Amino acid sequence: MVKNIPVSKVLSLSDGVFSIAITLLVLDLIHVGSEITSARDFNEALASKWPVFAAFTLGFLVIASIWYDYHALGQYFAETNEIWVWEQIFTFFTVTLIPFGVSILGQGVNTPNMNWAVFYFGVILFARSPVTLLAIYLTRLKYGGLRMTPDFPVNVRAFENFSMVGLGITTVYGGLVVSLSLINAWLALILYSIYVLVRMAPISNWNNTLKFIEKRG
Amino acid sequence: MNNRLKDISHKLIDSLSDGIFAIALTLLGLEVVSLVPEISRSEDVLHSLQEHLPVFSSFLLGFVVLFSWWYSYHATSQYVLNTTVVVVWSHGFTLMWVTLMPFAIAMLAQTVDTPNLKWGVFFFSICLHGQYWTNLIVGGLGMIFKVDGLPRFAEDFPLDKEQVQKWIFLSTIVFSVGGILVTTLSLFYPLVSLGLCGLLILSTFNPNQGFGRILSRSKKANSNG
Repeated sequence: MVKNIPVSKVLSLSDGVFSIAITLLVLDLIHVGSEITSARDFNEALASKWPVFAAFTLGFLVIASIWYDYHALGQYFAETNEIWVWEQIFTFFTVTLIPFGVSILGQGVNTPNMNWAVFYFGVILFARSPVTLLAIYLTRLKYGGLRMTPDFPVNVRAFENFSMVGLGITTVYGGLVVSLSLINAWLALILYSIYVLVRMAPISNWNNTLKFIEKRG
Repeated sequence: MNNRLKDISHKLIDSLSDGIFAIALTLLGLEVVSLVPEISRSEDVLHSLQEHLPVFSSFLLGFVVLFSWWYSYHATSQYVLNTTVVVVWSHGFTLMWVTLMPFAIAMLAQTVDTPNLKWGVFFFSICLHGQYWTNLIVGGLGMIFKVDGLPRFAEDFPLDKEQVQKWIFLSTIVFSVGGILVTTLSLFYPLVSLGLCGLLILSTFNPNQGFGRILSRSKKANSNG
């Protein structure tokens, strides 16, 4: 039998993907920079481009939060399998799409296409949840569950159950908010931002979840 | 069983930051590369090169800034053993300023010798000092929410926790206030402001020396106290 690839290989790839995606966010700003400097009224041109700067900040927070959350749990994975590897690759796929999402958001705000810009950004933001949910379910079906390191602080089975519930809620929330973007793009954008802000401290979020799991036995 | 997820390893931030620094440094070259068709087609290549001197000097400035930051970052981070949410987000926002540096450099290069120079210097100064402001905000939020902000340091780290806290607090306040003054000054005297930015960059050239000064002052303060 060919052995599974080590977890460290996937983590190394993730470092490259996250670094490149996070740095590519600036390309839009560089492009806008040359437009601003060649404009007749510098300040007016700058003010008119505020969505590009806001989208950059949001995109940065999104990628940094995903990276933090990814490693908060990633440090406990002991073994890979093809389902887990492809779930990770899908995560990288969504991360590499974020600069695109940020770009259409930056250019779409305050235009008649704003609804679609917010819609596609939302699709990229929430696409990971249903796929991860499916991956955990399939891993349990085929391999009996996730393989975690011995120092993982909670029963793996209970963790899987709560993760699937949490991912299910996120998927429904994401579906509703992304659909809302077609009716009220600003409200959807605020709800996206709340989602991103809530996920900025994954270790304490997970610790609260672990306490809850422990209470439930 | 300790029912808590452990904080992520500091090595993960190191790997991410190495990637971001490497790409940001390389992106600085975009502005220079974009000049090639224009320069190569001009009748007088040397004159054309001279015309675009601001682009080349801005590239050099950006390269020195990013490389100094990378050096300073690793000079201290080699002693850090773990992370906290404050450490992760302080580093995260510092990396945001790293990714913004190619934008600031492009703005600077395109506004030199134009009436908009003050805005080019203004944005460059924001990106140069931004990390101190975001560190102050993240640290302040950490204090408000009573989160333990300081990580654990290696045994060979020459300062104790209280001294580290004191120096981080002092340097963040001084550079934040200095940054606000220099950035505001750029709107009135852009060249003076740019000169002051240059002094800040020069002061971070050799982080080991700066760190050594902090150490000797701390020892002096301890022996006096």
